[in-house]
Amino acid sequence: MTTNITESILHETESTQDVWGVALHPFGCPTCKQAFLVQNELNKQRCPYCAQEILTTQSVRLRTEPPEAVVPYKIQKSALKATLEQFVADVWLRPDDFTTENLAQRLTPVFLPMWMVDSQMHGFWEAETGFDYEVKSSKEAYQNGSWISIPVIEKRIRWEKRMGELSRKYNNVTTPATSQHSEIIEKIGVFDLSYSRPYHFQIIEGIFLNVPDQTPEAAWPIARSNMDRAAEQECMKAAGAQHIRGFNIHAQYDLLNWTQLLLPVYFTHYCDDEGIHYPVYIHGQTGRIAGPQIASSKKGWRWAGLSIALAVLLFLTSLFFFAFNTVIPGLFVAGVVFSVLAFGSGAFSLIPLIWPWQWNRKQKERKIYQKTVSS
Amino acid sequence: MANWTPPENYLEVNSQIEGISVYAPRPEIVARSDKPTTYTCPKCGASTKFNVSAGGIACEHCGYTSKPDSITVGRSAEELEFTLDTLKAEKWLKEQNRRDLTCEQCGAVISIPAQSLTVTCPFCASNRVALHESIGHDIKPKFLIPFKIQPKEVQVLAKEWLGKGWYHPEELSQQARINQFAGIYLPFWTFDANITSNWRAEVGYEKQERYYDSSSKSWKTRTRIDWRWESGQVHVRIDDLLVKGTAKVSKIILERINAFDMHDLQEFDPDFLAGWNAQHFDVQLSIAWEEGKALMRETAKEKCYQDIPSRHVRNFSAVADFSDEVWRYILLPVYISAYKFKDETFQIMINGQNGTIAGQKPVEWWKVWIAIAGMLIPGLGLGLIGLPLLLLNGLGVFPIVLGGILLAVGGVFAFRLYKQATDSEAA
Repeated sequence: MTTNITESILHETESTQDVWGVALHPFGCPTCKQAFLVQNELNKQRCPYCAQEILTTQSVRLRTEPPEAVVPYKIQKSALKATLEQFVADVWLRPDDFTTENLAQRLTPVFLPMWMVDSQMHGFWEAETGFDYEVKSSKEAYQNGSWISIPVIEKRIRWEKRMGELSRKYNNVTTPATSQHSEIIEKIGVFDLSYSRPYHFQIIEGIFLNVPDQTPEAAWPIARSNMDRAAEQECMKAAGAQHIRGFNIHAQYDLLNWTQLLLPVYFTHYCDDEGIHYPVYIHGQTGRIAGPQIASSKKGWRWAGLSIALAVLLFLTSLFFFAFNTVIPGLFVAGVVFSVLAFGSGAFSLIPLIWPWQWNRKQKERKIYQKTVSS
Repeated sequence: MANWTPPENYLEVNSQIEGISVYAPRPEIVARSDKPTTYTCPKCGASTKFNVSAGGIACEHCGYTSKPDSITVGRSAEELEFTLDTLKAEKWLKEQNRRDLTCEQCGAVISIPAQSLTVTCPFCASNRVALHESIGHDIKPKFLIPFKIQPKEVQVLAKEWLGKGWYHPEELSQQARINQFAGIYLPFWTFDANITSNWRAEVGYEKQERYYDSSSKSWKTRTRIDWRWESGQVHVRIDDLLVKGTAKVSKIILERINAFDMHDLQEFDPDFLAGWNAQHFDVQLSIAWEEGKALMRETAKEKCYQDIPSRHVRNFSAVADFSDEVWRYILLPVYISAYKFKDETFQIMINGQNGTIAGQKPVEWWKVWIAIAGMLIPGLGLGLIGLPLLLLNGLGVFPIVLGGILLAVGGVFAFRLYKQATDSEAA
């Protein structure tokens, strides 16, 4: 494999102007080690990724592979209010910090990088290719003493071996450039890359640029696998088949050229009662939101306390009514009613105690809470 | 990277993308069975043909023999699906009427009907086997059951068969002039299918109930039927249903001899056909399949009825869903002949695998009518005796009842005899 990535690392002392067309300031997160490039100086900006620490100016290993294309934001910040409201409204007893206003205020646009690689591929391939064919089947209905035939045409696949040589150029094969990429895509969904447009430095104005933490060498196995998959689809088409399986290719990949593709994501965050911050991700094209929705146990205790106090008050009142029943006969009925209400209120107090615990456990089952905390 | 070379049994095919070459397995070399083959002895040059006792090609002049290169596959013989391509191919074949073959032995051009698979050159007497070369691969016979009954046995079998049966002329076996039997491979289709049949019907259950009969002023018992809607599902597997592929021979007679044992199915080899007649199908696959399907769905319907736990059924409906339908095109051995008796011609067929024989036989109807009368008279007689006795003092009940029973039994036997007699004349 030949590549142009050798010694393609810039250090903070060198300018980002040549690569990005504009001067950028490097920042990093001490906790998750993610690095960002921003046009302006930052003022106490939390890390968009993990939301655990304030980003600091620090030495960042910058890459020289230029940005080639950008998928622009389709949804603006102002259009996200309803999404955030719904996200917050899902949780009944939420932490005080978990509000629509806070999430909206902390929205940070970040471009996620992906590698785009071009390559000239030479090799030979073999596979089982599937060809659709139609078969006439039958359905016979018997009613009122006679049969009616209903012809049925079924589609089936005939599998045949094919092999051959391949010499093709594959451009813009994408592969993740950050270690967090797959996790974020899993949560918010894939991007429609057909909307990508050529990079221009004006597009990144006011937007954080996430610096790749995966080198092209590290990303190459996935890139090669994606390239093989593209070749697989082309071999299927070359054979005139509609399906392919058992694809096997022995190829050489020449003239590798690595560039970056930028994907639009919004990050925001909130903290729970203990002050732990939770990041929330929003897809910049679809507006799909993902992140942990933590309930507040503290609020649950508060509600439970109120409910128990009400229960005690009602109980004491009912005792009062029972005691004065001999003086005012009708008070016995009121005493019974108040006793029932006291019991109901006492029983209700269990709900806010249990609900946050149950809710947060479900969040753990969805592998959101646990992963975010560990990050 | 080292230069790549495709395996020997692969052939380059069209690629729809520049820069990608595509190789596919080389199609099977045109089988020997697809080319017209002339059978002449490699030793003495005389015409040769398949000999049943030798089990292969034999030369009557010098004794040369050669076994066909074919294996017995039995019921595991390959089956094909009802692809739309196959159905189109058989339409093409139907449109062909005659074709010309050039005799390799003497150079004569012979025009033969499209359905003939074999021909004997009228000029040099050499035997040829020729399938259609241009029709689709699937529509050719791929399997057959070879003749096991020798030609010399069939005359004896026919004589024996003609001598059987009391209501046929006694002199039939002596006076019938039987023509030469022609051994012919007839085309047949075999069909397999799985049928899932969902039925729905009103099913009646008998219930005994007591009621008060005001006319006799007593309690009696009667049967009432409770009707209720029920439904069910049955699965039926049909294997190797045989449907004939020619309309040129008597269906009735052929059905009586078509109990072929499919375990003897062998891969097709033209050697089997050398010197014998063989016919291509003239009943198309789609038409034969309709016939087969009609039989299959009736089987499914019977299974549905068997699934119903009562004999009282009404408003029955069912949907038979066919799946895994496959077919085979095979050739089966039959001897065909005709004989003359009192200026009338009668057909006769013998199963070339097991010797089962069937055909038309003249009937001496006076024998049949006497026998039928003999079956009915006892019952009628007793009834006639019983009637006046009944009118006199009621003693006739017993003979009338007995006469009725005898008449019913006699009627059944008489009907069977009549049917057998008409069937033996039918063709």
